Amino acid sequence: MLAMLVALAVGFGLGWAVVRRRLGPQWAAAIVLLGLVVVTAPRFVNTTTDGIRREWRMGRQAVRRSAPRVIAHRRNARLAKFADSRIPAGATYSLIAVDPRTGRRVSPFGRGFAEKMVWLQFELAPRIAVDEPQRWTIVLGATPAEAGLSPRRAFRFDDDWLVER
Amino acid sequence: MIRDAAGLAAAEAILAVLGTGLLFAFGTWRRLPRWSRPGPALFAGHAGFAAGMTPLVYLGVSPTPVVVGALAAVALGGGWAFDRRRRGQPPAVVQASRAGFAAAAILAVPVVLLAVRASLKPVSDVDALLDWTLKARMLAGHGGTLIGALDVSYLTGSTYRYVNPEYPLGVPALQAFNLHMFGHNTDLRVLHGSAIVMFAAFMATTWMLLRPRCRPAPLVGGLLLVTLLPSFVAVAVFAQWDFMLALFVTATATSLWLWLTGDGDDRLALAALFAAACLATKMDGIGFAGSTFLIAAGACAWRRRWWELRKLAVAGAAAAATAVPWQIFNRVYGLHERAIRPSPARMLRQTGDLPEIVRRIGHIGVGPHWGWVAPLALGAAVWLIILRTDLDLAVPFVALVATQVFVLVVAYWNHAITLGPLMGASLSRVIATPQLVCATALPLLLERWWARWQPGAVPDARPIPGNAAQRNAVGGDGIEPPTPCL
Repeated sequence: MLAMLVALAVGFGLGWAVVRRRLGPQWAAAIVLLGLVVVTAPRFVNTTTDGIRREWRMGRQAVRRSAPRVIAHRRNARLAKFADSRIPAGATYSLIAVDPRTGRRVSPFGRGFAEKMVWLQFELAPRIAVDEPQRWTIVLGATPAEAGLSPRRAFRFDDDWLVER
Repeated sequence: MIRDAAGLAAAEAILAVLGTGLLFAFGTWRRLPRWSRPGPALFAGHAGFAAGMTPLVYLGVSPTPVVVGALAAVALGGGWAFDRRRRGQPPAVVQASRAGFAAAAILAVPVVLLAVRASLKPVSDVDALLDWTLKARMLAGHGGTLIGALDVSYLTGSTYRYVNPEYPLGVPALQAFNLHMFGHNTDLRVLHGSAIVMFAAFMATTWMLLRPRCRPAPLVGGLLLVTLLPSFVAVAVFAQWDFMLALFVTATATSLWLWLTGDGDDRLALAALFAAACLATKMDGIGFAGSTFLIAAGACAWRRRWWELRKLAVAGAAAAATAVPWQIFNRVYGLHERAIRPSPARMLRQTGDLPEIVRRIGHIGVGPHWGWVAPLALGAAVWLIILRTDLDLAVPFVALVATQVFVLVVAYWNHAITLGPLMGASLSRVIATPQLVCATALPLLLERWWARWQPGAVPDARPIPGNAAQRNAVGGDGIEPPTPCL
């Protein structure tokens, strides 16, 4: 870095007098901009080609199920995939979150549920999640009984359930 | 994926038809050389979609190919009929230059790379999942061919409280249109390609607008630099809503500056179109587009050009009118911004946050990830102001960047959630707008700065021969003379 700066300074100093008198405005501006381009281009090439290589290798399903880093470890991908196959297109569903410590219903935006909920809402779109109880209900963090539901059928995915009433 | 790419190409073709109609109506079409037309037409089409389709979505119309196709047909028919009234004026005699083709060839390399990168990227951004693409899937999945896409239950339901329901639906509507063209609502990768196509169209538009004012070498260098800026590339791939806003705001500012410096009234019409697109893209668009028009109004008032001030007011009102359905919708359903809530009491209470806000904006603004474009451009502009030359460029530029930074400072000053995470999550994206303005103006500023600073330089306020300002100075006829402009 230091060597590069020194080389730049020396080159700048040597060429200064000539350049200042001889160089037309358009070429002076172009050289400054070209300098910035040279500085930024390697990073652009590296990040872009790395990204292309990485995502080219991903399969269609992997792409479909890839998630942001902050969500990836908390989402329940199996539940989302199963619910996507079970809940009819155009149907609505409800989301219930239960605090496992108190056994009480809490907002799905509560700690630990928000990431799951965001992923579910995105995966199940354009189906709409509504506040009122629906035929299809997703229970986060508790069993259907603990959530006060009497299901016709229920499917468990770790701590979460898909309930059909 | 090939089918998606074909769908995207068809969507862009429809938007290009829409833009062609708008350029016809504004009179810009006949000022352009033949090979210069597709880029500006496509960019105007994107802006026209945002400005025209977004209010329609709030009125219950679906952003389907049938509706957008009809909109494009109406625009093309109306624009052509409008343009026929200009038949008395001779068409512009224009010639394409080799510089334009060379520029297109040089810029195509990074843009194609970027397009491939964006088109392979899965939807894996929290904001896309939470907000933009979620809304797009909702819009594409509901309603019929003509009406019913907007189901208010997901914008007003408590389980969707973090989808930013108060934001305008311009970007989701565009994505929903693309999803309709893909024919499915599942693999969303190619969706990102749309923004890069728009970026290519933006660069063609910027070339078309600025080429008469700037020589090819610096202009190509400036546009190439824009394409390669690391943070801008990140915004282009990962935060396309802010990316689109930056493009629209910069196009608004460029068009307004050209209008102020005598480039013709069609530039004002373009500015109004792009400003309306800003308002349809993001909440920040109000501040950025508003400040651009405010500075233009200040310039008109300073020069006592009252008739032009009136025209500017009409253009501003037309742009603002497109946001009325959105604002009415928000008022009716009580939707409002959660993270930022402006109020004098809040500002007074949070005065202590100002140094931190200014420090963080300054830090990211002059950092290497943005290629030092802001300090360079502002330095050149301030130098020109000190020399009291090229004030028509330097003063509005400094005022615009200062106002945009002020808008950001005021927005963060009114934070209603914790400041640190808010700035951490958003500043690197929203700073794209002032940075793009700086990067676009940089070739002009550097060229003029060097010309004034060279020993023996003669102050020369004249633009490059052949542009509209010179034409107007000699009693111009409103027709573009031959210009070496692709």
